[in-house]
Amino acid sequence: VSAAASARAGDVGLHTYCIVPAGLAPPPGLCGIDGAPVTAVPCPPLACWVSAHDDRPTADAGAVRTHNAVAVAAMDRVTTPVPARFGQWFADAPGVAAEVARQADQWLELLQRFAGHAEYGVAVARAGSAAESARDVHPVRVESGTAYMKALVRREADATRHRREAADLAAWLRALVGPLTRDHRVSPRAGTTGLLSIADLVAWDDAPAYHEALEGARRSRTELRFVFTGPWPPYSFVS
Amino acid sequence: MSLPAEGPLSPEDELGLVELVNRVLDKGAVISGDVVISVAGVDLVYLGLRVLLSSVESMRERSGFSAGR
Repeated sequence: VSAAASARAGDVGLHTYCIVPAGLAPPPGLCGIDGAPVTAVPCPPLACWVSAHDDRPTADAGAVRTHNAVAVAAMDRVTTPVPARFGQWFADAPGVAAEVARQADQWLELLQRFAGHAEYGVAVARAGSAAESARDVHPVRVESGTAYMKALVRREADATRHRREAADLAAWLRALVGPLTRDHRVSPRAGTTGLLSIADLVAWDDAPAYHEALEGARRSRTELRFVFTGPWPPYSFVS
Repeated sequence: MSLPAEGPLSPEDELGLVELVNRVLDKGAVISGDVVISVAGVDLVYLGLRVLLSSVESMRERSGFSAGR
């Protein structure tokens, strides 16, 4: 049983935010979830930013935002942290240090790769696509087996068209910004959340040109809705 | 470019919130080898923005695992 699994509700424990190079301390006064002070647990040659809580933090919108904000606070043009996934809970600092040390080589390699870079996101949806949500949530209601099979065929055709459109769009965006990125991830989205989501790992120096290229994409495809996000700690490039 | 603000969400902010949740809850380093997300006192193994699919206890019951195992 791991330290995370053994620390159940009701225990005092540590919520983890990110892994950073040893010696990088949280800014004075930095608060984490529920206003708890953020501290660094030494895990030489690394450190892990944590906050102490009486219970495992609840994953509400505020906690998710705060978790990200703490990882963002560890970012500058030189250092980019390895962000931790929300929900990892340790009984004490030695438990954190032991688990971080166990994969220290991997974290060091990622810190080196991320240095000077940040993750940027591009979410794309069809303009006015909100009506599609209902099809994803409610089952198809039909009165005969034939109608049911026809509905299945129609749904599969819609899904195939959706995947093809997302793939074409991803390739088009890749051609526009590919030279300005070090790495990228593409995630097709279901109808409820748009066509696709793209994560790009971009050097700080290339960010202005990257944004300019994306704004050009937005202007040329008015039938689509683009949302640009970032800079993020590089969540999408950890594995 | 910015993170969505607190309060009522525009369609753009809603997409931005999806992006935030997808990253923080579904990506990032797994230090300990297991991740548990708790919402309203329930330990979850999967959390969607609109649909709660299952809880750890439900998964245990369905798979025949006892709570203490």
